[in-house]
Amino acid sequence: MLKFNKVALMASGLLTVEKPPPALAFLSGICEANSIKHEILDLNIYIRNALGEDQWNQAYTMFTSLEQFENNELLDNIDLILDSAVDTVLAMSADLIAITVFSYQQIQLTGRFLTKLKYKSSTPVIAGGPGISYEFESNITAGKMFLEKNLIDYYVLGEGEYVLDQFLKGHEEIGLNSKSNPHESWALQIDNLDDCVLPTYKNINFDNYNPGLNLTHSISLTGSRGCVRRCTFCDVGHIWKKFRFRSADNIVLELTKHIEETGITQFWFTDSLINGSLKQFTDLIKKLAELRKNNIMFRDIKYTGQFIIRSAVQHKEELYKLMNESGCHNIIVGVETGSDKVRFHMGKKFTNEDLDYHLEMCSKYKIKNTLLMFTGYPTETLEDHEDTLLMFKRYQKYLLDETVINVTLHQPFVLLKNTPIDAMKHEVGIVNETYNTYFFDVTTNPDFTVKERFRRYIELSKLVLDLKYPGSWGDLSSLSDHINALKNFNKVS
Amino acid sequence: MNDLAISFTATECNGWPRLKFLVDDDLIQDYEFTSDSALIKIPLDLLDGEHVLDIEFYGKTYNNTILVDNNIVKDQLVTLDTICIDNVPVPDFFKYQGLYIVGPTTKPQALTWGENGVWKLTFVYPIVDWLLELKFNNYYEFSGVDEWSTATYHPKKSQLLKEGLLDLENILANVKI
Repeated sequence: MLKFNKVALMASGLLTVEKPPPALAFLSGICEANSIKHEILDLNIYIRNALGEDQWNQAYTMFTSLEQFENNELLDNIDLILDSAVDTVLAMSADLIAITVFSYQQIQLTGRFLTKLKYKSSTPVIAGGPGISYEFESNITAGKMFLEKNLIDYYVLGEGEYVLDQFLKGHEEIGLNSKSNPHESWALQIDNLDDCVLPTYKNINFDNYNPGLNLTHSISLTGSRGCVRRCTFCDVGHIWKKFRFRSADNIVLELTKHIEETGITQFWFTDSLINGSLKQFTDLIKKLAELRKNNIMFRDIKYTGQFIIRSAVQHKEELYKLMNESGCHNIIVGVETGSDKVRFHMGKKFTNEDLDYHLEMCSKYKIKNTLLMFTGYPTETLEDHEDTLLMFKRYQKYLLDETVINVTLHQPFVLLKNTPIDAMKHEVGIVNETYNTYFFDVTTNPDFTVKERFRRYIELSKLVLDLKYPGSWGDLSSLSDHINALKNFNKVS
Repeated sequence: MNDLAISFTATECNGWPRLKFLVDDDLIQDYEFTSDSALIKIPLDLLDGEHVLDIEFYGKTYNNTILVDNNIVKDQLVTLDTICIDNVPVPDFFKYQGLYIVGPTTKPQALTWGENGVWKLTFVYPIVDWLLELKFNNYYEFSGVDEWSTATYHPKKSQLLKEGLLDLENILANVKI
């Protein structure tokens, strides 16, 4: 039976620098609950502090890709930093290194770090997080790939809280994989999220985050896992089979813990939808509104999260009023298109009329919105595209009072594996597809070529800029990705 | 077409204040308050370009101001409170663009009117576009940046994006399918 006295906790790969990765707080919470000493290293911040902002931005673009890159000076610099990071981790004198990998975009850098780590140390390494579950090659997860290369000793697939908790207690549960288990297993989904150990941020140095951005610190918080919708373009339903949510009391308990431990009162809900369960969301915002009103410690609570639009019958005005009173500062809404027909096909289950009402309420109760959009959905006709153009003209007025503060329009539609539309591609007529790219043909919409999809993307992007909608920082790097993708496409077409 | 909605508060003194609303010298509405607040709606359907909104405070006499020991104890006044366009509140800087002209005197940024005069606001149509231009270029260089958002509208960034889109368009022109 393995017992550990001290664990080194690491988040790997390049991510945003605005706030600490919640996985580190989860890992820290589990160690704390097991009375195990631990130290934390966020590799992203470590690299950023060593490289400086400009080079970090270049590295971010370079590493958040699965493509092999050419060796260059920047890579040499990063290798030196990784060597130093390995020394820092080993200096912690931990008898276990736990590393969390956020997504497939962090796999390259994680592999590079682990190679250096294993060269210098035989300390066991356990890896987890969504990036580890990523199917790196057909039927080979990133975890399995790292294990086979002897870069890690254990990996957890799926929700790791219970598995890690038991591992630290010396028990091996389903979902823990190692060379002694010939068959890869996935952790069982946790039905009652209230049973999870509460994360802690008290060992995380917030001064490392947001450097130069002058933004107030914020903490990520998860109220639910999974999604109540099955939007055709999204693979969340594949990753999280079942929608589960925490009780409002349990969320308030966590929120109180964070405020007491850090003094931070701004929260980002990581949920696919903060209002997936309308009842739970209403319970939560009632409690938060009450707390803000009656307790000075909670007065400054503000939060943001992804929000699904529903009709006025379901989302009554009282809900928006309560959202305002509970500290809802801004929400991120998947509008996707200005066409009811296309949105219906996507399974979004709300109309333009619902959207009109939603923005009217948000304007009244001072709730800001980020609109998530894309063009080129496979069933989109020219008329649907015109509807989207008109929608942006119609909502320009909401830039005046900042009811709309951001539009993300990063790319034309990309086909992801294991999404509902992937399952219905024969019905929709999608052929010649390459996953994770813009490149496919639609037999039922034959004029809707790559060229036409990009034409619409450019037309919409230009309009959005002309109407003065703000965009997010990613836009410029997205554009260069599109340019490169099209150049390559042009070579082969 | 946009609907401009202007809300006022007013005080009565031997009668309620009266206002005339003119766009480019066309009388749109002649309004006499009947209570201490009013919402005036002005439909704007104009050609692109510069226009002038005049709000004339008129008909006030000595009877509408009561003095005791040379101190005003009651007065007929109008205050412009908020302006909305298509039901959306416009940032406050907009109302401070107006000039209150009383005889030979021009009073910038005066929103409470107690003398017969004209509050004159020059604006450009399409008005939402013009207001956003003003807001982003002159008042909020990095608008949208607050403790939550890294989203910005910035003219330089916008220009870079437009150039990038042009590059993309040029490449697209050579794509055959």
